[in-house]
Amino acid sequence: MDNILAHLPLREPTFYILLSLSPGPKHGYAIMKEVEILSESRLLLSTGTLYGAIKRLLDDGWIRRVEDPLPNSTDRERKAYALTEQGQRLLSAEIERLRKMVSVAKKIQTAQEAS
Amino acid sequence: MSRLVCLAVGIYRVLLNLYPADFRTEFGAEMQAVFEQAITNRVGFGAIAAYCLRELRDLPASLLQNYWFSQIGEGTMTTQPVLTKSSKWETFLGMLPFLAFGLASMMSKVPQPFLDINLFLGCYLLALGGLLVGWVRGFPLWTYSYLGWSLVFAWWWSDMGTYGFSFFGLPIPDWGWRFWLPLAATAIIALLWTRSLQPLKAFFTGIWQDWTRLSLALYTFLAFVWSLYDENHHPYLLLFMLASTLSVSAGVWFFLSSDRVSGRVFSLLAGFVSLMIIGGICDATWDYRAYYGFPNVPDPWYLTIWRGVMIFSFYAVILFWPALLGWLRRRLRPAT
Repeated sequence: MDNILAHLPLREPTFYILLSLSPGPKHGYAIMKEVEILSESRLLLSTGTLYGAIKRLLDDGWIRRVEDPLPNSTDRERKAYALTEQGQRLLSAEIERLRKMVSVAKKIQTAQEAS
Repeated sequence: MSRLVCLAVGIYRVLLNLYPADFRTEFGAEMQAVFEQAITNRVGFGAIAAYCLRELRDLPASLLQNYWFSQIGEGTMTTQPVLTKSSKWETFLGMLPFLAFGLASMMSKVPQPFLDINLFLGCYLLALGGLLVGWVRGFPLWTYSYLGWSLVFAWWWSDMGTYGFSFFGLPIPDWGWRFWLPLAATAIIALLWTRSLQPLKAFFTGIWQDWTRLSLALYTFLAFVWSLYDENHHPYLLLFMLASTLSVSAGVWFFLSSDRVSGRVFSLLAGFVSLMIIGGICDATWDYRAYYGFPNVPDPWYLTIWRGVMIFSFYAVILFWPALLGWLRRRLRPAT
């Protein structure tokens, strides 16, 4: 069984891409927009970096291709991406790691403010 | 669609050709569609220009990543590299050529039945043998120690004159390029043995993911320079050589036993600083001026310190320049 913890911590763009797919499958442009929103416009992905990341996430088995759930106004075939079970576990593990870090930081901060 | 958008999409389509063919086949149409959608949804020249500039800014790094990882590091970009400790046996293997070179250097300083050249040739063969085995096994961490020593020996002896020495009856006064042949032969044997480029791929991937491997290989050069004690006739020379050999080997031991970059850097640095200190004590307690009949004019203290700082900096740069690879990797990775 793959040890998820060995893959942590995730890079910020990877984390946001996986997070954007957490509610459900999305196509490339929707991922790009969602990452922009989630990161409060701090992380603006170009198409090159987005698809470079998508390729490697596909290779690593964290995401998979699915049918695009949204209606397509163009006549082009549009591909969507979804988290795999392994990707979901990876994301959860990273969120848990971040949650612990924030929790410890908050405790220290509260203690400092109290003193 | 405005003319500006049409122009931008046309240029983007041309630029897509710069990507590796397999990547372009898989994602090219999709990338173009996303680009088109992104640019169409922007209003005004400024917004469109800003988006295009961002695409252009990220293009070189994106191209480099995709070429690099389509050739070498497939599947290694999304997560941090995982450093692992070597086993006790592997740690010993990695340390062995350092111990062997130290022993050969010490033996070359005392009367013994072997020629110095045979001792060092033995070390070279050991290094090549280790390199061959490591190559076949996919370049595990300890192999970088053998790779370093192989290169050091080939470089050292290619500039070495061995007058009076004959090889199968053939006198070889100056080795020159010939000393690189065993190394080349080792590489050819390894390639024929494995019939695969996978070990080479593992070699480059290993360095890309973990730059400290290259530092370990370069550490052999420092060990060579600081353990040789050439032209040194200190009355307790063997003790200093033994201390140097053990220090430099301890550095390798701790390096291979560590699974953290900081631990490995500290191990190599500690080994190197120990070598400098031992060498410094050796120099300070042996009057080489009197031995060689030089005028007795000691250097002023500030010159001694300055020289020490310069020497340390010089070797530290040699040892740790591979950290630039780590930096480059970090610079490239956030873009994913």
